[in-house]
Order: sequence, then C-alpha cells, then structure tokens
Amino acid sequence: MKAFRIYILMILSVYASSLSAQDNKEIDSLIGSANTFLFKNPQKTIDIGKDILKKKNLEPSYKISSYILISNGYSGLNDFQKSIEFALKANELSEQTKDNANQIRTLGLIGNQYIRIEMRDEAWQYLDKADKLSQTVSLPESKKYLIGNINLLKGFLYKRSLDCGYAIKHFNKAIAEFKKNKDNGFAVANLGQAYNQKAYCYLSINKDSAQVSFENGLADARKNGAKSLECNALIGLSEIKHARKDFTTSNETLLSALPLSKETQQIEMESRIYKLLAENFIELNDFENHLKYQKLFDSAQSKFVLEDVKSVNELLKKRNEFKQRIDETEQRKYTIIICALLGVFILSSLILAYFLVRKSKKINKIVSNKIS
Amino acid sequence: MKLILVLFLAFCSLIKAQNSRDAETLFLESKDLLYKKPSESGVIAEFLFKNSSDDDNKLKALFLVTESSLLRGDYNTAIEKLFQCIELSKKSNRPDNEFQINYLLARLCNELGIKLSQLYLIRNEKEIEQNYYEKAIKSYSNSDWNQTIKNLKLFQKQKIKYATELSNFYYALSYANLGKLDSAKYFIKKIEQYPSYYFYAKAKIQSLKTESDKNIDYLEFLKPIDKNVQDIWLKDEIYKLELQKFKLKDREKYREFYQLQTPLQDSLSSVKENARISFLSKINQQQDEVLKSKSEQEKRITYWIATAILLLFVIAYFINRRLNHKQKNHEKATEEAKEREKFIAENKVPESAGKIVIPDKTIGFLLEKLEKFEADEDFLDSDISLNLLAENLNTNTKYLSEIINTYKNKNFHSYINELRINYIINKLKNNPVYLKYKVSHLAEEAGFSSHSLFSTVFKQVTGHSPASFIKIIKSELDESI
Repeated sequence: MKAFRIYILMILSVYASSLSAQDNKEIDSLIGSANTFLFKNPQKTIDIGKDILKKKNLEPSYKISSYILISNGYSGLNDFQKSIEFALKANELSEQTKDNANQIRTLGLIGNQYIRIEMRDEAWQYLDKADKLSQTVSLPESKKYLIGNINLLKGFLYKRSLDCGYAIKHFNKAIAEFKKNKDNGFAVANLGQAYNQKAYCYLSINKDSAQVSFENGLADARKNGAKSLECNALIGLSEIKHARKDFTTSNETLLSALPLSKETQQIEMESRIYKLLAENFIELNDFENHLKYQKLFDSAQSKFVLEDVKSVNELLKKRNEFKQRIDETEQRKYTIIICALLGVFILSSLILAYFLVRKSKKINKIVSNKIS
Repeated sequence: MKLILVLFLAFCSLIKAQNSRDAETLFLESKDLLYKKPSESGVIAEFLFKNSSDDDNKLKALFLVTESSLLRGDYNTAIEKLFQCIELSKKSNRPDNEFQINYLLARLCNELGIKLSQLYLIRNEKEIEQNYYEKAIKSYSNSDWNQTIKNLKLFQKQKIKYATELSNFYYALSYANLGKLDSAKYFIKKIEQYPSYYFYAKAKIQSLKTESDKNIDYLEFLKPIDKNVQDIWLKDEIYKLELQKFKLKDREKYREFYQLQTPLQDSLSSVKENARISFLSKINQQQDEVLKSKSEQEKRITYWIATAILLLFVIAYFINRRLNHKQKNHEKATEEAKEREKFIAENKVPESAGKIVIPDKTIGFLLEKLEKFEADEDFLDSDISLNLLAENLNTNTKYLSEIINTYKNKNFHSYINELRINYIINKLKNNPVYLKYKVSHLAEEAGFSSHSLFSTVFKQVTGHSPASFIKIIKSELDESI
C-alpha cells in the first residue's frame, strides 16, 4: 500500500470573505486579487495583505481576512513560522470578535502548518480545539466546509499514525460536510482529497470500500478538473485491479493516469505507475514491456528518492529554524531578565553596602570619640 | 534454533544465574551472533537488557538490540531503542558510549535519508560526522569505491572497537568493483565467520569477473545462504544479483525472484516512510525537551538571583537594625552619663559661698511659702528648678538657696530629690497599688527625668535600691497579714 503525500496545504483556507455590513468594494477586490496570486506569486499576496492592513479604520473582519491572506502567502513561501504567526493573530482577533467561522478556519490553518513541519503534538492541539469549537457553535451552511477541513486534517493525522479506523471516521465526517457546500470551490476540491485519503485507508482493509471511495474521488476530481487527484484515484483503482489479478485493465487505467502524473509533475505518482506497470507486464508475460517500465521505474524512483530526501530535509530545516527562532527569542528574553536582575543585585548591594558602611563608620567614630 | 534459544533464556531466568560472568558470556554470544543471526542476537541482548541492573551493561545490550533491529530493517524498534540509549547514556556520559550512539544515529539518519545537521539540539553534527565507518558505508552505497576504501582506512586509524566486523566485507567489495580481485580475495578470507556476507561477497566478485572467467555460475555461491539472510539490505542486494543473472537466461526464475523482491522493497519503503515519521516526531519531542529544560534552567537562575536580591535586602535590614540599636544604646549611655555628672556637680555645696544677710521678715515669709510648696506636692513637677521656684515664690535664687541651705540643711537638688523620694516611700507604704508599679513609672511620677537617676537618688536617701525597698515592704506586709 502506498499513499501519496497529501496536498491540501493551501487549498484549505484561502477564501477570506468579508462579513462586513458596510460594503467596501475596494478592499473586497483587493482580497480577491490577492487570492488569485496565492499560487502564482505568494509574495504578492503577502504584500497586498500588508497594504490592506495599513488602511485606516479597518474593520476587524477585514483585518482577519488580511492576516489569513498573509499567513497563506507565507505558507506558500514555506515560511511556516511567519505563517503561524499571522494565523495566530487572525485567530486571536476572530476570538475577540466572536467570529466563529474564521476562528475554526484559522485553527485549521495553524494545525495544517504544524502538520507540514511534522510537529504533530502542536497540530493535534489546534485541530482538537477547532473540532470542539465546531461542535459547540453553529455555522451557516455556506461555512460548513470549514468543519470538513478540520476533519480532513484530523483524518490525515490519524492515517499518518497508522490508525485507519479513526481516520476513516473523520474522512466520512469531512465528506459529509463538503457535500453540503457543493457550490464552494474549496469544499469541492477537498472532497476529492477526502475520498482518496479514505480509499487509501481502506486499501488494505476492504478493497470493495476502497474501490467505491476511489471511484467517488475520481468522479469528483474529473468534475472539477483536479488532475493530480484524478491521477491519484486512478492509481488507487489500478492497484485494486492488480490485487484482483485483473492485470490488463489495471494497465489500461495506469496508462491513462501516466500523462496526468507527468502533467502535474508528480514524480512520486509517476514512479508508482511505472512500478505497477512493470509488475503487471511480468504477470502478463510481456517481458519486454516489463523491462522497459522497470527501467523507467528505477530512474523515476531514484529521482523521487532524491527529491523526497531533499524535501524532507528542507522541511526539517524549516522546523529547526522555527525552533531555533523560538529558542533565540526565549534566550534573549532570559538574558535580558537575568542581566537586569544581576544589575539590580550588584547595584543594590553596592548602594546598601555604601550606606551601611558609612553609617557604621559614623557610629564607630562617635563611640571612639566618647571613649577617648 | 529459536526454540532452543527461548528455552535457554527461560532456563537462565529460572536459575537466576545473573552473575557478571554469565552476563558477559551472553553478551559476547549476542555480539558474535549479530552479523550471523541478527534476530537471535537481538533476543539475547533484549534479555540481557531486561535482567541487568548495571546501566552500562544495559546500554551495551541496547546497542546490540538497536543494531540488530537496523540490520533487520525494523527501524521503528531501532528508533525507540536508540532514544532509550541516548536517555541512558546521559547518566554515564562515557565517550565510547557516545561514539556508539553517534554511529547508530548516523546510520539511522542515512537509512532514512535525513541529514545529520537536522539533529539540531540533540547531537552536534560534527561529533557524529567523526565516524569514518559510516562514511565508508555511505560512499559504498553511492558506488564510490575509492572513497569507500579511503574511509575504511581512516576508520582503521581511529582504532575503534565497534562495528569493525564488516569493514573487511566492504574492503573486499570495493576492491572487487575496482577490479583488484587479489585484494578482494584477501579481505574475503577474513569474513568467513559471517556466512551471509562471505558468500554474497564471493558471488558478487564472481559476477564482476570478465567474460572469460564466467564459466562458474556465481549463483552457486548463494545457495548455502539462500533464504536465511536476515540483513534486509543484503537480502535486497542478493535479489538484485539473482535478477541480474536470470534477466538474460531464465525468465521463469526471473519472475520468481522479481515477485520476491517487489514485496520486500514495497514493505521496506513503507516501513522506512513510517519510521521516518516516527523518527521526526521523536526528534521533535527530544528537541522540545531540550528547549524546555533549557528554559527551566534559566528560570531557575532567574529565581536564584531574585532570591539573592531579597536576601540582600533582608541582611541589609538586619545590619541597619543592629547599627540603629548600637546608636541608640550609645546615645542613652551618653545621656545618662551627662545626667549623672550634672547630679554630682549639683550635689556639691559650693565652698566659696559667702554668707548673705536676709531680713527676718523675708525668711519667715519664704519658709511659710516653702511649707506650702511641700504640702502642695509641687516638687513632683519634673521641670522644677531653683530659678523656677524662686520665681514662683517671688524671690531671687540667692535668697532661696541660702534659706534652703540654712533651714533645711541641704542644697536645692537634695531638697527636691528627698521630697520626691519621701513622697514615693510614703505612697509605697500606704498604697499597695504602687508596689505593683514598675520602677520607671515610679521615677516618672516622682518627677525624675530618668530611671537610673531615680535609682541613684533613692539609694542615697534610703540606702536601698527601689527594687529591694519594694521587696522589703512587700515582706513586711506579708508578715503583718
């Protein structure tokens, strides 16, 4: 069983709509354009977000939206610390203004960032908070997909902890919530993801359920033109066919998935396709094709391993930088406190010593005068 | 074999033969089995770990468990045990243990594709990098044969006892790949006691020989070990060797081995993926612990300094109090001395005083006034002085002084003091409440400015100190009752 890494990152919480009564068309259009830049030029998104923040008498809802935009921008630049920093700001403000939807959105955003740098304890903390909140408050139908996001992330975390039972429960919840918002682009995009993730969980437990889920995911991905998700679902389906010894159909599915993986530059999927093709062809006694795809697999796999190692190390580096910065701030804080306290100690001991010595000398002098 | 081993271990635990010699024998056996039968070696080491009370022995056993898990591709156990090693080694802090930990960490990182620099806060990258054996393995996996040999030679110079067993294996394979078959053969002989590695190396060298020498089927060498190899890396290498051979000759056989290799690789990559996740979260936890203990230490320092400041002020307060006390005592003593001097001086009758003639009428008048002064108890006024009294009696100090000297036979101060003391004696005798009063209160009531002056005068007049006088009266009273 091979599950591909999840790419829900930024799809999650981009949409930062304003709930403001006062219609501010200028800011709305700025937010809209910032959203479009998110995938192409995250720096631009950050700049726009910061520009909006500079405006005077900005309503809290717009402030929250700007913080979320900036957080997403930094997320796109893989600057997790900055992303979390701004998400926390947005979270704080939404908590103050009792903006439940944005509170859940930002908690999910923070949890997502922590998942990306493999700080799972922290991720759990924020996602659990979001989950609890989503159960106590009632969100409008149009915002229900946010609950879906939280469940998708939680399911994903459970899956990573090899606890597929719980993972499936959360994926089901996520799917149910996403289905309520069929018009929302983000809900729809994540729906396919939830189907696929659920299917991968089922792959080793129940092939029939896995197939149903993959087919749902495939239909959803095709409807929305999400090619990476479509490819993912196709590989999953071919894997089931391979397990059922239906090698020819499995190959057909794989060959239809191959161009998608190339198009979306998903080397991990491409490598998996080659491997499955090689395995299928040897079963079909097509030795030439087997050798061909085995060779392609070998080169794609080594490329993927290199890329994978690089990205994991890059992520770890970011996490270490994150910790280093926290450590440094902490260190600076303590250095200042310790220095200040030491200063107080030295200064007060000097002053006290001076006055006490003076006083004692004075008294001694009087006493000795008297004696003499 | 496993059954025998389990029985043996059960026997061991039954008779509790845990003296150090038995443990040492078991340890050596486990070490010897590591590259022959890693899982058996791991079982013995685990047993040793559980039954050893000494931290150092526990650590040695854990190293073996970790290495055996690494060889078998059980990375999750390896991670768990390795972090246990790190925890245990904190107590002993011996350099050879640290070296072994660094070696195992480096191997784990290499296997899971994690750079050593990522062990931020846990280990110093430079410390880990010092192990040339690990570097040699890395160079070997990168097919850099010359570098492998170079690293192995550097490793030999380090004279480290650990992980030396397989260096000859890597020497042999690297030389073989470089075409130096004689050197390869020389090193192969040294690893005869590790059959899996020995036969694989022989097969590999045979496979590398030029076409003319290829009359011997190198797969023949693999027959003795075939399915008994536990080292997961070696297993994969053997499959590769076999697939390489059958690819050209026997497709059926090729398929057979391909179907063996595929699940092995699949499970290995999924095990590695999961191990990586748990390794990363383990690193995360450790880093957080380090940061936490660091900040706790700083917090402790802060508290210490704050306490020191508080202590400083407390000490200063007490020193100040002592100084004040000293000053007060000194001032009191000075004052008393002054009064005593004054009293003595005033009690002296001026010798040079000449006789003054005072009209009889005035004498009579003043004596009458003095009687009234005594009757009115005006002498109790603490401010009374010769001047003040003369003024009150409408006369001058000379007349007054002369009359007191002549008719009362004493100077002014003795006159007033005696009146005061007699007043108090009278009160003490007639009013028992006064017996309960403090001396200082009596002095005050009599108009004396200080307790000590009162005592001095009292003693002069009565021959007793006020306290003993009170005692006498009390005892008289008790007798009369």
